[in-house]
Amino acid sequence: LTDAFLLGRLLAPRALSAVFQPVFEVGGDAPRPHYLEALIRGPRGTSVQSPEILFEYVRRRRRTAEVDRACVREILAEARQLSPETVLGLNVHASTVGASDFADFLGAAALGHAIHPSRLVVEIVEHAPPRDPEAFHDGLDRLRDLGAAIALDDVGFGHSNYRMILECRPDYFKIDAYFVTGARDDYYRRVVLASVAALAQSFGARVVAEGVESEDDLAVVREAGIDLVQGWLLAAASPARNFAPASRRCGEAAR
Amino acid sequence: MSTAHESTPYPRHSGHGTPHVLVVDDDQAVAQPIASYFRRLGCATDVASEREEAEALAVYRRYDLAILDLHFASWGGPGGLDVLDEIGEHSPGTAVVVLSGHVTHDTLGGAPGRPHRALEAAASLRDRPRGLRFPGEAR
Repeated sequence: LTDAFLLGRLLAPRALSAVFQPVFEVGGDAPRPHYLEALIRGPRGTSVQSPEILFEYVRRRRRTAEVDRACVREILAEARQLSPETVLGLNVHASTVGASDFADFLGAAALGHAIHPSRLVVEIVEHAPPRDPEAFHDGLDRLRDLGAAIALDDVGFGHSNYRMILECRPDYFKIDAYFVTGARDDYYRRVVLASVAALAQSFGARVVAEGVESEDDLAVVREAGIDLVQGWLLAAASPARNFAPASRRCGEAAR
Repeated sequence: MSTAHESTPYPRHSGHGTPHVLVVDDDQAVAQPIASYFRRLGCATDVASEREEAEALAVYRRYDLAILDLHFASWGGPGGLDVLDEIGEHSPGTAVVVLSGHVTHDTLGGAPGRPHRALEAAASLRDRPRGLRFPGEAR
């Protein structure tokens, strides 16, 4: 085996796969899909099938930008099965957003799959604050110029903190499941949820609570004033084909 | 990436159930027979052929036992020490067996793993860490 064996394998066409998990709006009488987040899986049968290990490996190989683009291509290819109105969330690292040509790449790739970029929510994930904030801001501006919305992933966790909120000025704060799952029994988690909800409101942004796995979790986030939720209680991640019929309702909301 | 609430192929933390083994070697002629041995024993076994692959696995999974080649040919040096560091940092309870024709106290100096010498490594493989049981073995 060569040093690049695994990297080459995961960069091969269709080696990565995508599943989708809805973000639901729960403010009304019944939950309804708001957008579909795409989640990447590594090549089946490899050590990097799990996404957290995949992206840790890629980060250590310093190939995040290349793999992020491969993920985007795979997600958009899969998303062709969805209805034309579906709003699609895809995860991108901050370092990738800062590349001068990323927005052009994303716009062209989306249009190449008959998906208008205004149907995209770009979820920013990061292991560290952007090394070049100016380039990062330029990248965000270009994405917004395309019509894409910006979400900050895993708010409250790791580096998705106050600084990243200020750097991103996101349209969506996605609060990490750590603060959501089981919050009914934890006063301080509930305090954090309410605090993030208030902060987002000050920014004119909406909050997505990740990791809603029980009716108690749902009730707690609703009490905090959060009306966008994601988690096993409402829907697990599954292939695009499973969302094709229902996804016609997904495009009504995000903007 | 939103992964915290997603399922992984097996639990992040190794518990008292199926033993978890990591085999780190860029020579598949060595790694695969070792992995096959442990799989036949019923262990959940990962094989990493790159340093970064092994390090990523060490960050997110907990292993009862790691079999580690200290000198990968493709690394040009004792890069296995980096993997040893990651295992020591994230999973200090993992027993580590070092496979190398070059191991000395100097090459392993300061590394968190044990044993330090080939004979101790062989003894560790034979005796296994206390508490590590393979399926079907009496407790």
